[in-house]
Amino acid sequence: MFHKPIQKNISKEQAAFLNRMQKRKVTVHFIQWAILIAFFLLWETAARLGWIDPFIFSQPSRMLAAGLKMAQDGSLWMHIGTTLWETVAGFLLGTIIGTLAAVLLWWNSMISDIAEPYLVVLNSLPKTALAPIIIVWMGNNQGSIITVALLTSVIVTIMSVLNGFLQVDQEKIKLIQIFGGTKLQVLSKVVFPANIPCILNALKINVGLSFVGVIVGEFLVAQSGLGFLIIYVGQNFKLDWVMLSVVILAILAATMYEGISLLEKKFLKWQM
Amino acid sequence: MRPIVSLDDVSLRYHSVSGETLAVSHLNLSVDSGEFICIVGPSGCGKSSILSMLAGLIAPSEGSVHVEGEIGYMLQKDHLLEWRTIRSNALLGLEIRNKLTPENTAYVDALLEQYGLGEFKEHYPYQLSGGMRQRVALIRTLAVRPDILLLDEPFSALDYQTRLSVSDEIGSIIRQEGKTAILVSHDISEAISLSDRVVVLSARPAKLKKIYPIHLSLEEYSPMKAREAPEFREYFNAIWKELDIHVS
Repeated sequence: MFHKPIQKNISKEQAAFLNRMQKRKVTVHFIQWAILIAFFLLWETAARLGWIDPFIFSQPSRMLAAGLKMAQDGSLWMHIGTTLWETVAGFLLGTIIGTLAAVLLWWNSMISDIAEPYLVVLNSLPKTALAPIIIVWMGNNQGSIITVALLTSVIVTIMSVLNGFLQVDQEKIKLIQIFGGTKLQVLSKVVFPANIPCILNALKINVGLSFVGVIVGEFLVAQSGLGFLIIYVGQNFKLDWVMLSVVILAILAATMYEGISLLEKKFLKWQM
Repeated sequence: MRPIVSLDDVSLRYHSVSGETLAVSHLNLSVDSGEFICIVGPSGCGKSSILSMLAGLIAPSEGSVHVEGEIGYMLQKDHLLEWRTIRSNALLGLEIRNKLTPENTAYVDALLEQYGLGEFKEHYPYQLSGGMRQRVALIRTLAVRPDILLLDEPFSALDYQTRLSVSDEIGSIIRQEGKTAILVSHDISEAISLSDRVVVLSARPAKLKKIYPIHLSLEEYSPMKAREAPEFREYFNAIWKELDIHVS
């Protein structure tokens, strides 16, 4: 692997410039964290001083207490585990099936032309509207939740990956044909590798979409999972648990997004 | 000697929903083994279509195309695949043809060394200059040991200075490797300095206008030095006139 040359003897101006950039970066991070901490502190204070009703709005210390209690009896991990597994299965399946469908449509432009209006309509349709139907068809189980999650991401994946496939430089395809390459080789040597950034990007978007599908699915049928928790405790007005679940969801989504960003860096070292 | 490449009364039509276009009309041309010829013509006249027919990518609508030997084709841009290292790019053709034998990869490594890319083998294309990238593209073409090289304005994407040195370099490499070459260009100087014969085509549909055999009095030939030959200007003016380019 190639490493960018590191300048050893840098001028004073360059050093000052690097210093400024570093300071700016530190400041940005500092303010980002400060906003987050201030938000929770304000929330806590407001609840303690009675500015807001903690029964309706909850408060960080009560959320923490609820979290600790659930962590001790293990139910917290079970709910997180369920949601995490359903979401990962949903976005991985959505991305894989979507990419395979895009390959099919790229391969046969006739099928692609026929499918186009259906894709456009399905893309604008809110997929969560299909959740009750899926549950009736597939039953009250995890399979239907994963299917809902998959449906939320698969159409948009097909459309964006197919678009990426079609935007590959025709001359690069010609290059493969010049060497006598087959259509399969055009796909494997040029079209697919050129679109790995596009597919990783779809994966990133699908994390968020898959969460939507899973939570809606869990609202409807689940016996565990964060979506189930939100609905179940929400009905009993245990807002501490609801708020806690939302915060955990935010952390999970952010972690997965970062994970895929790391994957991107690993795969795309050939980019400038 | 039997020509290695010949076009006999070749015509080519393109079909699209908006209509039919005649790109090439009754073209006759033959090229001998080891010859370097250059096809010049107004832009969009169908020069690239001729190369595509020679490479077997499209079939002529009328007439016949004969090619004896392996074809190597160099495109306008280098089209190196950004996600592959330089070495892996140079091996692309062999990989597609399933000919990644130790002997062939050793040949590619030798070419990379010989043409100054040895230490860049494991680099990625974005780390190389335009001229170096074009050299990699040439090595990728040479890797499959073609007998005939088709070059479709392979220098047009480079800036003027790089272009001069790269065309000099690549012209010399092709001569050195003893290949037959057919270069398409719209640069008259480049055509004269590189080739044995310059073929002038008309505007679309491409028809043969005239062929100029190039004889330059030079002690030692190189594409760069060719530009200083006394006959250079005469050829230039004659071909310029023949091309009949109107700037309006």
